[in-house]
Amino acid sequence: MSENVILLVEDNPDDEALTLRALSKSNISNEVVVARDGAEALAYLFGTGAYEGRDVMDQPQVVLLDLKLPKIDGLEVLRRIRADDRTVSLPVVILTSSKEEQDLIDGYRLGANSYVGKPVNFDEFVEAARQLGLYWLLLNEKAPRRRT
Amino acid sequence: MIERSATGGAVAQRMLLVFVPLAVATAAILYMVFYVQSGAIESVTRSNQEKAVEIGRQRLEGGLASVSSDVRYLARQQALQRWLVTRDPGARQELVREYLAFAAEKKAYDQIRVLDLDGREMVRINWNAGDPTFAQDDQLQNKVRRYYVDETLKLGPGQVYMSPFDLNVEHGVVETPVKPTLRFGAAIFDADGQKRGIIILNYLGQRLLDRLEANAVRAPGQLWLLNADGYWMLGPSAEDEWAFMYEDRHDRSFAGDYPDAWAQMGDAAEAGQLIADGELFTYARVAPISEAEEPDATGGSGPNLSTSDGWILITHLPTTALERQRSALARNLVYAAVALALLLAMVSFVIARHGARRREDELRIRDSEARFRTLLEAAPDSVVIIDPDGRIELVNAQTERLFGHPRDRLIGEPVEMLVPDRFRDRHIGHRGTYLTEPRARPMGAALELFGLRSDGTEFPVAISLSPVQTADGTLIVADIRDVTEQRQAELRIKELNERLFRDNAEIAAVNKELEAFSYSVSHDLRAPLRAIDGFSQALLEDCADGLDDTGRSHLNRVRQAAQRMGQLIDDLLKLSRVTRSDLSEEELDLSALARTVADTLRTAHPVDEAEIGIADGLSAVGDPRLLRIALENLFGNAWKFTAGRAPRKIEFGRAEHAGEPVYFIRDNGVGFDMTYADQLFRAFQRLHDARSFAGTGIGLATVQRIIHKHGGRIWAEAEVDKGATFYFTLQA
Repeated sequence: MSENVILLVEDNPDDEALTLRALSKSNISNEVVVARDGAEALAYLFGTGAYEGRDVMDQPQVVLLDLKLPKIDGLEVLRRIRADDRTVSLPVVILTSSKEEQDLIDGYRLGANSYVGKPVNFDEFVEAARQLGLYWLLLNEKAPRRRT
Repeated sequence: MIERSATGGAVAQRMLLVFVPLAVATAAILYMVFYVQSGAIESVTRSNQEKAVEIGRQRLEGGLASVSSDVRYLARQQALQRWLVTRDPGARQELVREYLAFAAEKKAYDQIRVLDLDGREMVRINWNAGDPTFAQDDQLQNKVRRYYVDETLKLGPGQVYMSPFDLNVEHGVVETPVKPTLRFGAAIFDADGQKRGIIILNYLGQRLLDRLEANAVRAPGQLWLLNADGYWMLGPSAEDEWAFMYEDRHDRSFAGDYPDAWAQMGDAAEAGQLIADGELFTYARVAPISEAEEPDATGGSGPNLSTSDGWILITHLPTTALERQRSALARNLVYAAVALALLLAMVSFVIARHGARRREDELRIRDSEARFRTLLEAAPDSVVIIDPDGRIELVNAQTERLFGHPRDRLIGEPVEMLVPDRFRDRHIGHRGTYLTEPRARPMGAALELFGLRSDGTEFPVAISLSPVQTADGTLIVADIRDVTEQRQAELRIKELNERLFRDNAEIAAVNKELEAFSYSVSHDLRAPLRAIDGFSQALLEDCADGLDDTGRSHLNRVRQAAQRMGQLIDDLLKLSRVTRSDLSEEELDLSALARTVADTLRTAHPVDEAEIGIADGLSAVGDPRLLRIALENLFGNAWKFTAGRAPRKIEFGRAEHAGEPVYFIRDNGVGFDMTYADQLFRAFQRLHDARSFAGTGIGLATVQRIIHKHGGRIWAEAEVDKGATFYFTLQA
């Protein structure tokens, strides 16, 4: 069942661990696939490279995308997601340390569904993760699969 | 007005200067004319009168001489003598025929008579008003008792008797119409010298008088003929004439009417002029038979005889007539004088006005020239005026100073002496081109022009040219400015601009770096903090059994420190964002903005009781996002420092401060010591310890930056424990 997979794109292992912890503390038990840079995220989504052969029709429930990433940065990843028919309606939540206004603007302009700043306070981080899970995993209806 | 009346006075004065001498000269000339003319009038009048009298005398004498010649001729006629000797009727017949023919021819004789020595008429021819007739014997009369017969009988050979001039009397009565008559008589002698009879001619005196009158018509005054007794024979009127012939008119005479004149003439010369009884009399005595008469051809040498004492031919001219002429002359001259005076006055006025105008014009020209000179000399630029040949006509003092040449060395020289050698040829060419199409050319900074000083040094100049059309051709007015300083300033500005450009580039680079820095801070500095906090929490949760209270307390402090640093980073980023962001300006409702901020505060602290007053209708122009940050900070501060007050009081409003609108936020909090007021708005400066009031010390610095970005000011007034008021203005 990869139907309810969460794709977490995060290069910082600390943040990865904390995010996973926050998600689990929020009782989100979905499978979390972690991509550690933009290229890996795109490879997963489009079934290339290490994910060669993956069924690309089977897309995650939500992508949690950090912006500052090695190789291909988050905004570029987002642009490519929105440029591809297979992922054009994929929910993407930008989850980042940056509170830079420009990042916010660019994120929404490129089609991000949400923009969430990662708080320093872990309690707040857990709260944010809980709300994210509640909305994107439980309340949000996925766009119907496209038949090709 | 004053100027004009002064001019009028000047004109009047000039007019008098011209008019008076001319008028005096004219008056003198006219007076001389009058003097000479009036003398001439008198002498001409006198001479005319004399001439008239003289002509009259000659006519009279000529007439009389002709008559006396006739009578003498008739007396000596052979036919008459033959008849007297022979008494032959045939001879008488012949004589009569001759007399008839004579009378018809002469038309001057009323009667031609031959009388014997006894005074009996022997032959008589009557004029009969132009149809001479011969008197029959029975009609002949004896005239012996007549005075003229007696007188004639006394005559010797060649002598002629002339009777007094009187009227013909027939039968003792004066014949009417009056017939003025002169009787001429001569004795008839035969060949032996024997007196045989006399011949009498009755001369028709009217002929003589008519001749005088015809003459008199042409002369001024009236020509009178007086007899020796002073009676008129030709006089003022018919009644006055021949008065001596009538008993009742004996008193009418010239002698009676003009006694003075008559008395003066009494013993005077043959002719003369005299003024008496208010009249000018001109007279001449007429000798009825002149002494120049031919001597008697028959040898008689006695003087011609005249029974008359002589006549006086006289004209009279009232002296008033002379005066009248004189005054007419005077009047004419006065008219002429008045006309001339008017003319002179007009001429003088025109001359005076012309003179005054010319003088005025001269003054005006002099004045305007003086003004022009003053302006020229006062001009801050060098002014050089050049004639069409490029020679310097005029320069001002500034030119002397600028070029170092004295004026007299410049005037008349080619303007190229002020131009550096290497530009001279080109300058001459430019000058020619300019003259073909002269028009004002403003000072152009575009052209790099140079002037040449007398010491050979050059300096940059800016030149404006304007052509001036004059009678001598097109003059060029060149306004020359020394732009050495301007050029240096321009150079300096250029340098400064270049430096500014470099600095800007540096600043841009620095800004870019700063942006990258803050981006990096935003992303990278928070991540470790999050890890510190997150893993501290994880430690607390996962290893709670291995931690005692002290350990837990330590971990909590670690978490708090990490969170505080996160807050510091957030505030710092906010501050730098405010600094970097561009200011957008729009009309906005500060009251509404403040209410939103206050509501947020209340929501965040639902337990606390707060009285927040916000004035309505506070509008401003500014950046809504930045002003919201400012208000958030100010309200946040007020909230923070009113902790523990019950109730908290926060007031936001507008006041007047030194004539400008000022916004304020007042609270009833702990206030602060004004000694440290100058540190309020510095980043990281705090007036309260962290234990009492949390904070990063960046909020007010951010607010100040926002207010400054809007061109406003911010300050605070406070007292410890008595609250604080923050004022700010917005002059974006």
